[in-house]
Amino acid sequence: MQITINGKKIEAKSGQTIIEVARENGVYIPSLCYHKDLVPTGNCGVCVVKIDGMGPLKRACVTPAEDGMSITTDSVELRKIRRELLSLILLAHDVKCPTCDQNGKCELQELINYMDIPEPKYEPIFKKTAIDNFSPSIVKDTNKCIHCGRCIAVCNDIQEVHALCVEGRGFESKVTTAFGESLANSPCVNCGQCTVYCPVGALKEKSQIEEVQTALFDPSKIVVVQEAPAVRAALGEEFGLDPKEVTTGKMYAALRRLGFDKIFDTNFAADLTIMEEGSELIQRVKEGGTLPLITSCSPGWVKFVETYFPEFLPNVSSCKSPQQMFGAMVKTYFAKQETIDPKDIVSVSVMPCTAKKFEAQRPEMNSSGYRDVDYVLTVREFIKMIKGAKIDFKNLPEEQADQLMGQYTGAGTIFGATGGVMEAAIRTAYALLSGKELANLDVIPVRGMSGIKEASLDIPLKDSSVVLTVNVAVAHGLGNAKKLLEDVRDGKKSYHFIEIMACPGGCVGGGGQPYGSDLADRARRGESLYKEDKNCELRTSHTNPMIKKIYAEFLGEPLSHTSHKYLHTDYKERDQLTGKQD
Amino acid sequence: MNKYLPEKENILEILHLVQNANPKNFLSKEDLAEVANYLHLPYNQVYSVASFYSMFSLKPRGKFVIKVCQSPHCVVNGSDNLLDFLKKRVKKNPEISLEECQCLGVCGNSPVVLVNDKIYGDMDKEKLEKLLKNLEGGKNVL
Amino acid sequence: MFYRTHLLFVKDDNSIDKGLQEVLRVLNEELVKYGLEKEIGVLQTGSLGYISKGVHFVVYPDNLLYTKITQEDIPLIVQEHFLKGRPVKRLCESAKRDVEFAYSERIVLKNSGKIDPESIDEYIAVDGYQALGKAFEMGREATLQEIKKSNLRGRGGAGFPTGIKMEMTANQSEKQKYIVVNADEGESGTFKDRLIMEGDPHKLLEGMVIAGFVVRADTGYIYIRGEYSLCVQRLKIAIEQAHNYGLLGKNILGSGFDFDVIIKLGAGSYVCGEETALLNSLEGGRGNPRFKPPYPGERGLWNKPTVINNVETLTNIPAIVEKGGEWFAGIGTPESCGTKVYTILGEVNNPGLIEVPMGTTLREIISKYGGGLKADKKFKAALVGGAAGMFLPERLLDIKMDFENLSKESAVLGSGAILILSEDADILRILTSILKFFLHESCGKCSACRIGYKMLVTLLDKIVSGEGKSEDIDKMVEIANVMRVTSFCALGQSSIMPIGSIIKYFKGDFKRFTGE
Repeated sequence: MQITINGKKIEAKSGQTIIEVARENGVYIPSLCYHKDLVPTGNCGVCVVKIDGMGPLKRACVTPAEDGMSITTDSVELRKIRRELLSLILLAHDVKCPTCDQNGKCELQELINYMDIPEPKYEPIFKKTAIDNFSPSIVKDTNKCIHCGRCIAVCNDIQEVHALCVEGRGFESKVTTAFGESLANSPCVNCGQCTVYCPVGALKEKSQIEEVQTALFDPSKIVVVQEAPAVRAALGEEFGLDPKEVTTGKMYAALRRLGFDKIFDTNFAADLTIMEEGSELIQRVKEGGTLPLITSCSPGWVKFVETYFPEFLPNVSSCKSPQQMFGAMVKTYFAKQETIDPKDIVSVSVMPCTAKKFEAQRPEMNSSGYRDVDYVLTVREFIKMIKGAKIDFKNLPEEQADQLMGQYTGAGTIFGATGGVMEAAIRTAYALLSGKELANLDVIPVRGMSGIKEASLDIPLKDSSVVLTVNVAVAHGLGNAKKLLEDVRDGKKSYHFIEIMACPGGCVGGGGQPYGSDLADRARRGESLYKEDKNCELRTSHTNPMIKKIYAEFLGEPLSHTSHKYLHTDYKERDQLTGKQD
Repeated sequence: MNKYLPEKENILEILHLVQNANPKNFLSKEDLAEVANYLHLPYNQVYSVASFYSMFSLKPRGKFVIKVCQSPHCVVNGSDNLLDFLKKRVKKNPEISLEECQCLGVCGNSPVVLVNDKIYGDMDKEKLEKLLKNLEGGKNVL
Repeated sequence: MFYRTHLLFVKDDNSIDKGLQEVLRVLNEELVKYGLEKEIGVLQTGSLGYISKGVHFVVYPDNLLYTKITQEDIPLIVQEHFLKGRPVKRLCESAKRDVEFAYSERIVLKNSGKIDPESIDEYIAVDGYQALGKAFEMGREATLQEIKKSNLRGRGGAGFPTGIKMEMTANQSEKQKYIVVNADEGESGTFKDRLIMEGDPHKLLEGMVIAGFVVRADTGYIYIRGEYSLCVQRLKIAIEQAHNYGLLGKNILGSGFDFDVIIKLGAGSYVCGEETALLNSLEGGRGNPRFKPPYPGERGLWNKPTVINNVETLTNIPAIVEKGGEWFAGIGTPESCGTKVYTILGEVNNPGLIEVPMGTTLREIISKYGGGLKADKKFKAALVGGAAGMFLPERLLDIKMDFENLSKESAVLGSGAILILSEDADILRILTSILKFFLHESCGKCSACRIGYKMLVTLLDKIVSGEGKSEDIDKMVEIANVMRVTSFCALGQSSIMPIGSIIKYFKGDFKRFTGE
């Protein structure tokens, strides 16, 4: 069908809204609450357009395009209305631009600028509410909230975590948890998707930049850093590099310039995780243990299952996440190898994730005798530090990680994308069970952005004529995870192994990734990780020489007593109202 | 609660029922958790719905809830002044809660005050004072 | 039992507040004392429309109206009137004229105050449920045609033709359809739907069943204000009686048509009177409005085709079916047919409920039905259409009250509330209460309404406190205008109505404060 926008005839598909048609054809309609990943709510009203013959103005985000429609998206009248509306929105917003995390990225700020809104003549009218900073992961500042509804949609409809909701009505309404409890005392799983979608910085991570800086300046401390696989996939976007390429070498270089003493890589620990988790899978299959085995890398997912599906806790792998395995090894294995007193080590991680902050603070994460991970920085905090030090990231040389816990395989890299843990596990489990390497290491069915993915793999067991058929599934986004678990619980589906990542797209779509990214960004980041995997000389975890070394010199073998002491953990049911354990 | 099927559409009826059964005349955390459980709805959703409607209170209330109509017709007849008077007058008594409300449709007897389910029309300060004395004595009569 | 005289007591919250129960108790004692209890029948009816006549009752067949009766008056009335046949003139002057007024031209309120609303037999005795039988006889299409012919337009405010609305839903191929009655009357100074339902609940049920039959819906919901307890009680009784008589439930009157009615209580939210917000509330959610399209007629309750109508609209249906669409179209004006029920309040002698033909002038409504201004004060303004309505000045007193003539002045019938203000009235005080009302009732979904009302109240407070400037008045208008075009639903869109009309007709009331 055909519609006319600003006098220009444009082809539109049935079911498209006006704003979708406009954006597809390069026509900008100012909008604030609209986000293309989410079902539009029509809350803000900034995107109103004039449609001939339709009387009052219509919201472009919720009005379906109809054949023959003639639409005006910009005019003196529309500009006046949008300016007046934005002025109103600004009056109810706590304008704190210089100290705001979203400064320069804020969608409201951009619009206010674009629309040339003057300094308000009236006093702001928002009702001052205390900032919630009790959660180890997320800070909520309701004073900045513009009621776009995105966080509500993400938390309830996509993630089905049901932490955030709208309380009350009208001007007094606010985005909050039930009874206005702190996020720390709610079912919030700290996934941080709300922070990624918030247009104005009302939701952000709890910063630990200050703590990390203090450690870096402390000469008595050895500051060791690890970076998750998905970090390198998002940094390029921020510094004008090709977003299709990972920035591993520059990332190491930047960390070195920031003053970290040892630059390792979480990818190493990802390989370690595969050794443990792959072995756990084989053990459970062989010994008739609880199946399906479900991954435990994603701390948002772990809190989710503890809260909403405690009946599945025996299914969750006892393996700690790569971050925590790494943390435990830094203060034991690394300390021993380098003969450093672990009390002098500050263990920092750079993560695409806000839930990792929560995970690092879980009381049981101290198997080294110390906090296994001291501080967690999100990608956004890391970027802030790079920019704060005026490091010319784009022109940094490609550097290497430090030895011992810096080397990794392609299997470790793809942990950052949905399906990656599954693919890495399949590669190693196949080798361990059959005694042969998988002919084609690319396990395509578990890749990509569809919400729930399934695959089936025949593994010929070594020294036997038996062929084992392994059924696996992958879910990303907790809403999808919920659906999958319900199917398993109701006996509709049966698997050996399930990978679950809390965030849509996996860690490349984590809650600590740059503001304003959408599902397309996530997909592209995932592809860049698969590209790096393809370019790796070693692509299976069990072939990582440094992994062989750590088992030879410290851990013994997978699932050994030492492994269990440092690399495994257990889980406990949580109260659905408070998210607390007994 | 069993009076109603555990379906989302019955949530307002169930909340009314639960609130009426609460001795403090409000919906507590436990109440909402129970309703959420019964209806198989997320707790925060039940909270969000309950907080939307002005007949539900999420804070404990006194034995008597005085509602003063603040609709234009009653305001014309001085109900805004009555509200100010009451605000000062009932502050200290935990057994008496004060709320504003909108038109109760008893405009013929405006200004109107509602105490729990009982309507009092043609109110003035003297009558209110008398009513308050009775309420303080535990009786909802004028 | 045969009584020589019937006493019809109006039982509503006004009369209950004024001591109805005590009066009835004393009356009963007195009747027994004089052995009159077998001669004088005492009935309780719905409202006649009066709201400021305290405890009042009609004496049949004398056709006299006793008003503002207290228990002390009863012994005198019993001895003088019922024993000796001498009406107590002091207590029932001019009653005859009032009764005539009350009963003239009525469709919706025809039975209110005349029959016992808790008796289905009385409703049937005044030809109740005949229209339903006729509809079954005529069939769906013919019944729909009568409704279309009648030109009945929705009485909830928007004035959309009811027949076309029903036709849209009737044409949907979905099997499951619903009838929803919007009885969430939250508008200040509006209680017409409540008195309609309290006075004649079966008429609403009959209208619902006919509508359900026409569009093939099998379930009807009445979404009613949580505060309307007497109303709910009478509706529940009516539903049970209708079930017992086979007028609800399976195979109604042997027609093969099934229909059930469910009452749903609101919980205090004005915006739930907006039809899509009402649907969300009915489904058990927050009462936020939905975006249209799709319209409820196509995708309404649980996304099924749904006819949503106001109480007054549906209670017109039985008469239309019974007497024909042409008869109805002959009442009122060409574009606004039938009657309209108003609540008339403020500084008039006879505040209350009236039902008059569409097109009756505002002047006539005030002087004839409202009894003129109290103490012969000078008229200043009429707030027409409820809180979201317009303040009309004296020069518009001869405006015909109907959809088309009001819209010429950008005014609306709205909820049918008319508030009469005399020269003494402080319009800005009323505006403050209106804006505070909307601030309190805004659902908070859209920016314009959520922030707009807060800002309007803030600015008006500033102006009224004497600290405002004329630019603050301009700002109010600007904000109201933006709210008109960017608010999600009528609650935000209509702030310009009261504000704009004050600026247009009563700007002096503003200027008084800004000193210009």
